[in-house]
Amino acid sequence: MSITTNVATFIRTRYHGLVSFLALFIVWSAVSHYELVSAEYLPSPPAVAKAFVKVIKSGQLGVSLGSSLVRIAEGFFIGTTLGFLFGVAMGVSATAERLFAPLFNALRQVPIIGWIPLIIVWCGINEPSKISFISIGAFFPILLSTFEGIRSVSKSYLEVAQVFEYNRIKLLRKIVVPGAVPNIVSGIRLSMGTSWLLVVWAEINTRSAYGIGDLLSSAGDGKKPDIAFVCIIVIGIVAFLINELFGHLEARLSTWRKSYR
Amino acid sequence: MKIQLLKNKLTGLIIPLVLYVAWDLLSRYELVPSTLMPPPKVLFETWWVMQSSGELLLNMKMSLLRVGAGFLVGASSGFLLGTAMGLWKPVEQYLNPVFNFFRQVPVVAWIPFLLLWLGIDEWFKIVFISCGAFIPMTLKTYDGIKNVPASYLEVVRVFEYGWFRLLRTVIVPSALPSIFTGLRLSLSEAWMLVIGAELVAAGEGIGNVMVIARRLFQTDVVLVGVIVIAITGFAMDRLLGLLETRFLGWHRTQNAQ
Repeated sequence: MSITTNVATFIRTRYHGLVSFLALFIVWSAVSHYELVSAEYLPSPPAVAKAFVKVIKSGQLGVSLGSSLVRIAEGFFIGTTLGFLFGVAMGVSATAERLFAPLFNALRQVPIIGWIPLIIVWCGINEPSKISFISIGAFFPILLSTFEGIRSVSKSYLEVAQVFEYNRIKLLRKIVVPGAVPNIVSGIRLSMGTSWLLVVWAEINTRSAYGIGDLLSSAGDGKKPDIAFVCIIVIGIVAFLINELFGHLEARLSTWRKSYR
Repeated sequence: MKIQLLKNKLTGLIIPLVLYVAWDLLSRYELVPSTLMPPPKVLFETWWVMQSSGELLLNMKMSLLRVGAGFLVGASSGFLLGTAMGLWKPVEQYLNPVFNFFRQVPVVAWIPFLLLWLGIDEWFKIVFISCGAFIPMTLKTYDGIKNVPASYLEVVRVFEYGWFRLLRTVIVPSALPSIFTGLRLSLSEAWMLVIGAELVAAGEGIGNVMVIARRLFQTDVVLVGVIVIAITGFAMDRLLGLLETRFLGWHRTQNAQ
């Protein structure tokens, strides 16, 4: 009973979006059905569905997605670890900030994609170049958010720590880092999202056997728009999932902060 | 006080200086092959050659024209959509879900389709850049209008402002900081995407110079390219920042960022 009423209220309040999606879908189906645009340029909905089933069944999609995710995990791990360490150092010590801030500020000005040719010259076109490219992309968001998070730790907490005579390590472990956690998590979310699109950029620029970007660009080269469409959908879904997942984490980890204020 | 400030500034130069000396020594004594890490002197010479032959200027001009066109199209249509969704409920209800849906897909994923539809010439690059510039601009304009404080709107209702006056005196001024943020985000996105587009599809442009240099293993040219695009990106952002302070001097918090 309540489910039906829920559905009913959902439809009553949100039907507009559904109407637009339905309209888009109808236009898409009609255009491809009457071949207003040839199937070479715009695959029909059934063709995309068929391609979806095909790449899943043949295992192509799984392997590609898997290798991209492994690359992300490696690059993300290196980038966030370094970013976190530098962020903590610069947040805690003014000397470290003065030492490193100008350098990182200068490096940060390079549009990330601009690193690709340089990295290819230095590391070739295999795994190391992709991973270092992703690490660079993941590094900066974490660095900035950790730094800002630590700087935003309230002074009164530090005074309490002084009263209790915490030593440096205890101060860092008990006050500074936990206080910076919400910022750090939002940095992780940002750099995770960046990593996901950078892996696609890296794979498009340096072809390899497997990867979602490779699947995408080889589908584009081979005039298989249906598979390219599947890739776009998958890339969009993963980006959405990453954002949602880390968004929830961020909200959960920040609740204590809100309730304290 | 002044001496302290100077000292702080000088501390920041230590690491770049150390890196520079290390780089110079490593490349001078060929501890790192100069094909991978050309000495700083070579870099300056390369830059000078590229500069005086006009190669650099010509390619930068092409890239900047593309960014200009893409940014103009993308940001202005983003502004229109953002404004429409912010001001009219029906537009918001029908278009916002669709916009949010397509926004999830990183623009890079559209490359094969855009190449298929538009070829590898100018059209592809400009449309690609516009798509990238469109998204942050729409978001920030929409946010800015949606976040006009309700109390302002209540005051307006009391004074019985007309439609136009409401827009001019209340909505635009309070949404402007967010709109400026949108402009800056979409310009830096456009600058990044022009490099990306030129890496993927040939044609003149600074990104293409870097791709060709990379194939010929001219590390010096690639490095000059990296430095030039970093400085240009920084300068463009600064320019918008200056405009922002000029128009929004009253809005302190925004400037502090």
